[in-house]
Amino acid sequence: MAQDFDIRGATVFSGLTPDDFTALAQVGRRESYLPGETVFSGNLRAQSFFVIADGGVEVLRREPDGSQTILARMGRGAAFGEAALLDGHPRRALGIAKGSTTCWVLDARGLARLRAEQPVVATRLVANLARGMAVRLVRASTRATQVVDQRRAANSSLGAGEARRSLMDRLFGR
Amino acid sequence: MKNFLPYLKTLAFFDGLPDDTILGLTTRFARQRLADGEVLYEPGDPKGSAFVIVRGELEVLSAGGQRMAVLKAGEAVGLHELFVDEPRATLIRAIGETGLFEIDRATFAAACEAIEPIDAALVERVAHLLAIQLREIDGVLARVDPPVIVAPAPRFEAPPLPAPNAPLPGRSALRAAAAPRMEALKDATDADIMARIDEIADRAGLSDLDSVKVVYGDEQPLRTNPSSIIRRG
Repeated sequence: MAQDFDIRGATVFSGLTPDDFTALAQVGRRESYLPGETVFSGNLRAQSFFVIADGGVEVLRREPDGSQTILARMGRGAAFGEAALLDGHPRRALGIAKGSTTCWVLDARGLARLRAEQPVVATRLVANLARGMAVRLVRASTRATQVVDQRRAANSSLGAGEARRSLMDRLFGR
Repeated sequence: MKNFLPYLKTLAFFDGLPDDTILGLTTRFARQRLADGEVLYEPGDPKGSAFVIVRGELEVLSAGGQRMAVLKAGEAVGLHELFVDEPRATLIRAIGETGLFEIDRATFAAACEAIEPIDAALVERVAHLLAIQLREIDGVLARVDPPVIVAPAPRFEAPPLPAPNAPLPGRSALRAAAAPRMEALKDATDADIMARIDEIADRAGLSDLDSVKVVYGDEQPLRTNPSSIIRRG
């Protein structure tokens, strides 16, 4: 990790030691993007993990009609791509730099090298990535259960048989 | 536990792990058994362990009593509880007699700092499963509660045509147009430069990297397309 980027304060790196950062510097890289430049897309760096050192990234989903749904806006210190890095499934969304942007990037090959050369650091980093995903999972699960309960309350007032089927039943065929 | 190894290897939680690692992991876990209908935990219960289903099934119910999912042998529940200091938000209940491995927070916290391969395997497996669960729940949310910020479709706008008798842009104008990109690269390392060259070549579909040139100092390249030139001090 280059000295001129202040990403050591990012939540995803909490608890890492200076030696850990030295090890990470060997396996990650920094990338700079011009305003509007693609940070990741279907095939480009889709399985990498990013920490925004400067600038910001807007995550978009292309809709069939050509419009774009903005899924998230992230700024300095934000991290994304943990799930894609760890489970190997590439993202389908598109990431665009908002303004001049610099990210620290770790791809699957870099993580594999870290596991082989510095397994303790790799475990610490993966635990931190897992912690970030756990927080997001709680938020998403809470929202999902709220939506399910709201839909159920609305559907029960309709009284129709189909409407009484739970939202999850319809989604998953259960 | 060795007698159960062939069965354990069929469970998703242990998928792909070496035999020694599976057996080692089982020594880290406590075992629990639930009767049919017995509640493992419910909303408001204090934070606690995560569980891997060894036999039987667990149903996940929302605070409002709505069934969210049925988890089968090999799946895990409460993995996020290993990290997040919040009370339980769902009710988990056994369907039929159910056997579980319990991963308690202290064991997992110790594994995150340990150097044994078994501990690393536990952390990696939990992280991997969290990634899958996060992707699944994000997919559900995208359908039932989609984001509302929508940008209009980007429109292609052709650059204005030059006046009929206007001179074509010279090298200086082309260089000025490329100045921001050069400025962004002026402090870049050689590795950055090579990565950028790869990216440019990749975007252009070029198989021959000679199509991109790195220029040092005041060297004047014999090229007219500044987007393929990277200038270094």
